[in-house]
Amino acid sequence: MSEKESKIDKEWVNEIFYDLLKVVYDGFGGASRFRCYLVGRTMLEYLTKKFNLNFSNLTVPEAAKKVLESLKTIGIIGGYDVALNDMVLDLKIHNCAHLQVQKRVKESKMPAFVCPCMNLCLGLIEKNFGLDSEMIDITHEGDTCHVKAMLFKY
Amino acid sequence: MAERFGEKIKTWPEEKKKRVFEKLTSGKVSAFLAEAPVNIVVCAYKNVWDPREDCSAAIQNMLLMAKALGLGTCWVIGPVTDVRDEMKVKELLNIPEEYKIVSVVALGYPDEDPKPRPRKELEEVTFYERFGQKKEETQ
Repeated sequence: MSEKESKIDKEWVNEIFYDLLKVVYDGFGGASRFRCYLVGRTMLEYLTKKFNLNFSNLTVPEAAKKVLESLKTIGIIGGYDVALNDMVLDLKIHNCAHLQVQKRVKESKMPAFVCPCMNLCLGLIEKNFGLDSEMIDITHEGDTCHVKAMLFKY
Repeated sequence: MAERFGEKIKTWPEEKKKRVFEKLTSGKVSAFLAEAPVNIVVCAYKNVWDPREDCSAAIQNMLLMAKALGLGTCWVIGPVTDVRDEMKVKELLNIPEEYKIVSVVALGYPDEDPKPRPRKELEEVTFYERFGQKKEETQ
């Protein structure tokens, strides 16, 4: 099989992703977001190895940007903006490969409860900065997802 | 917090929002578990059809029996609702991967006698033939 033929159809991936999200939401209801914090997190190890990422001596926004830049490089997202305001990590993800899933979620009247890109950042922040986190909000407008999470220390 | 408390949070004063948030992120919400004489960690074997239903029914029976014995209980999900917290508790208690923690039940002698929670009227939550249809609408 050639490299071109082996590429997985994005529609297929997103449909499966959406269907699984619906299963999670039907099963866990409002607690779904608490059950999905690890979705995508193992990619952190993969990206760190692939791009030889080093997060030492970085601030939280700088570390998040480094993760998001690697996601951009592998074509998962088209762009990003990162801000940290009063311990709220504020990500704007442009043209995410899974944007279609968020649109389907919205149409289905489910609350958006998982963002693998934010999960990656939160996993890194937990590991490198010892900060816990909780997702505040996931919204999208046009081709941009706006994801916010609170960082805190117990 | 809006997802936890819904629309009503919008009517809260800023000071109350701040206070609730600080409590939620303080690690003290379920801190009384540390002082309970007994904590029962209810685990479900995952590879069955209805692990949460089975455990929930079992927990309700535990609470009723405890009450009958003059004990007090509190059914707690806070320490295990978030998958990250559940992982920590599973590691702490060496719980195998094929089990999930459904809840924790704190058990002890009660130092308070709380009033029952308000109930909705039965007619308000009971429908006939189809969801939303009142009995009188079926005749």
